[in-house]
Amino acid sequence: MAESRQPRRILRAEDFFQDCKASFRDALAATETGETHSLRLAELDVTLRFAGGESASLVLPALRHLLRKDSAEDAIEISIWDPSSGGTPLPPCPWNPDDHLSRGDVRGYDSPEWKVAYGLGVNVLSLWSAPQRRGLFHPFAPREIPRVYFGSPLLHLLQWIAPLADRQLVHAGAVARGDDALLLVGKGGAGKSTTALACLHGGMEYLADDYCLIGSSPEPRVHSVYSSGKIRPHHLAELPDLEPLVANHQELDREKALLFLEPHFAERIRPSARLRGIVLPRVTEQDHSSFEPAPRPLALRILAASSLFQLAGADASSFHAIATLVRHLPVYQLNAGRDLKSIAPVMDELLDELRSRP
Amino acid sequence: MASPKAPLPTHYRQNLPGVTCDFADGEVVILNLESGAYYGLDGTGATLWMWTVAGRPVDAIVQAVIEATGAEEETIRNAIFLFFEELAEEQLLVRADSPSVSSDIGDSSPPAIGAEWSTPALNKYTDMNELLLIDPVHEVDDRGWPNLDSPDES
Repeated sequence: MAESRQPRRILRAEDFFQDCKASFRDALAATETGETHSLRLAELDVTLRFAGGESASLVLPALRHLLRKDSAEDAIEISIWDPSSGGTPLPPCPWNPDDHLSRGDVRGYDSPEWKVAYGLGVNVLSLWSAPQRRGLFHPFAPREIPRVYFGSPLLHLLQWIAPLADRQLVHAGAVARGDDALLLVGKGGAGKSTTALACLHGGMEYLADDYCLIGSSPEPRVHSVYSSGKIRPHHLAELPDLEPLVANHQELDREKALLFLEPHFAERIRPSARLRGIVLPRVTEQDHSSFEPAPRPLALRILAASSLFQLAGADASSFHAIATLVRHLPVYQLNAGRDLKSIAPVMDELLDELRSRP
Repeated sequence: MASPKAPLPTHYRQNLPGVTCDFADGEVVILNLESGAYYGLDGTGATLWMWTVAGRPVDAIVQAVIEATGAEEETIRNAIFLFFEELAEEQLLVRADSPSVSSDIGDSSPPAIGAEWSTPALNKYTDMNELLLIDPVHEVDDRGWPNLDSPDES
């Protein structure tokens, strides 16, 4: 056992990246079912290149609203493959088990140029090369991963890519009416997803329930990343439009229901909107929903902590991007009532009020 | 924690890079990216934090507070010492013998110290540190990560 904790090869992140890239090329050469998809995220063109296997069917549904028919020559490329793709197996990771840190970080494998994240619970490897503008994503056993994970695939890679567009990935939801949006901020279980999906059900536009990109320049904006949603199964009865979209019926005894909102709600999934305010949802026992002003530092604490404590490589610059946004926006607490249908009208009322401000 | 009677270090510096801070509406928000705890400081605490991470010597901070409040030097010196030591216990600050300026606060102006001295208080939150917890480290086989040690393959 002691031997298994010794490094087998000392590899720099760059060398490991090159080895993994070679493995992808072998997989691509071995498959007859490679496919390429172009997407636009914020102002970034991204090409997803799959080397067969099972990954495309799992990764694409949550990103379908961002797909584009045309491709850009200078697009960022993310190569995606898994063991069922064939080719040469991925080389062993060149670090020791105790080099796995929190958030998916790996000791010694984080620099501005090269980033590595390893999701231990799901056995997923993500690598990013800034010099090559290229990412690698390799789930080792995609069919063993809970489906709900693929509600937000490529999370670490998108977190690393976002600063190229002066954007920051955050743990927050967002809903809009036209080009005016509210950012939903709260730790897990606070009610972000339920609020976002209740707003969609109530006729508003949807950008995110859990993760999105934010930026402050030239104006506060939010960008949709995933057209998925997650909701506690017992809420489905109150939002019946969503029931047919559940993708993980077999997991509902232990996971939230995972919904893919595209194509059913395609016209109400908004890629981007101007942020008018921040809303902190709070589940209450009152029948109807209401809102009230809340302190800005509270929003900063929750948004920063719930985002940066789970995103590999997040650092001070990520925090300052979040703080800059929060300083520009008014903050409200949403007292979400038991009647979920009362949420959308209250959010609309708040947006009306904020829209009338200079 | 050291005694207030112990000599004060000349400076405290922010515990970089694991600790980062920013500022909104008079409150300093501090994240410890290694422990998963986060903190809020307002009023006097926010000012003392901003002064010390801007590289001001402890003696200068003590004198500035005395000038603003007119309080007794021993009271102020002991309170500031205890406060900075509490922040050091939380691994947010580190004792130092020379100035070190954090870039986190930038050009933000700290809140003014009120005419009446109020003891600074650190608000600590640990409700999200589970986000930092990782899965138990699995045993691995000779192929290394991520190949789990499997009896079927041994």
